[in-house]
Amino acid sequence: MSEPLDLKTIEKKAFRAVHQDGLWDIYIGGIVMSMSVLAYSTSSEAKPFLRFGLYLAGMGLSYLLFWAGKKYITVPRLGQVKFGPRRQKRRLTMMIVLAGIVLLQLVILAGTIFLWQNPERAAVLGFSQTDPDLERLLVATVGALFVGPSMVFLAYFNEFMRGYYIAVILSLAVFSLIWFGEPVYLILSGLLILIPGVVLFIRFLRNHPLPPAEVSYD
Amino acid sequence: MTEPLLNPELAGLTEIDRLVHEPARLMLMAVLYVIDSADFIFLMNQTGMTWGNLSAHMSKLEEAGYLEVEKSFKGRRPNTMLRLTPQGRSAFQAYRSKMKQVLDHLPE
Repeated sequence: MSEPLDLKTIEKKAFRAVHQDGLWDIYIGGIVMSMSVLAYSTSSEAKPFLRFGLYLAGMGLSYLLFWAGKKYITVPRLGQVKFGPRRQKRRLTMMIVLAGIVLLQLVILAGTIFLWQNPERAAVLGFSQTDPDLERLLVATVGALFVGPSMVFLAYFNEFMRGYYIAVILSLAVFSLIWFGEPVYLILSGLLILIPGVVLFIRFLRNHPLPPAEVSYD
Repeated sequence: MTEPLLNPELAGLTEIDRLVHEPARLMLMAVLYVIDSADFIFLMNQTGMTWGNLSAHMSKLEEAGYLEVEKSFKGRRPNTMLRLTPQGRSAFQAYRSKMKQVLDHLPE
């Protein structure tokens, strides 16, 4: 035996195998690139509903690719697995933490809208709207902080190491969307997430050929 | 005529569960021990075993009551998940502690 039988490592490897198909990366990359349509809103005369429709279509297409990829490509090659109670508990903790983050984000968003519409109250609290650049910087930073931590928690609880890299890129993408309003930064950020995903997906297909039809235990 | 076993510490080795001790089955049981359940393809990917080999070992584990097979349908497709029974889990734990106990007592 070349290595000791480490049960924790066996479990970790089995768990991480589920994320090695690159589909998460392709999905998130697709979402970021869809957001670029929204960034066009500041620079084009396109109708808002058309822009938003295109953005939603991009999001929908990304999800469809992810869902179909998992169902028709990954699972038939990798197989199905259900993890033990420790993982299920961890998943529940993740859901609670993420729900808490979303709640906090909603409070911040509501507070921001309220102060935006009540400049005199904002001034009392020390937020002045006299400097538009500073204001935009603040909104861009808050926007980036909205997506980054959520992704970091997702990466931590799912032991999805590339998730930390995606969190940084995602934060930069949102920041650039608000700060620069230029779609090119979003397209670049999306590509930086999507390309490693495509490489992983191709590698996954090479390493996991479709098993013969008789492979079952019926 | 065989010599009597001189080292009493080695006598513990005769109590090792041979069904678990076989390397391929040990590998399978180790994977199934750390998860809840998995299908055939996942186990083939994790262990690198062929379908025929895996099938043969699974049958032995199932016959011994160490493994249970859960058959269901996902849509119109049959879905077979394999899981260690409580008996299988105990057998794996017992094997693990027995091996530790025996090997730890062997002189360097």
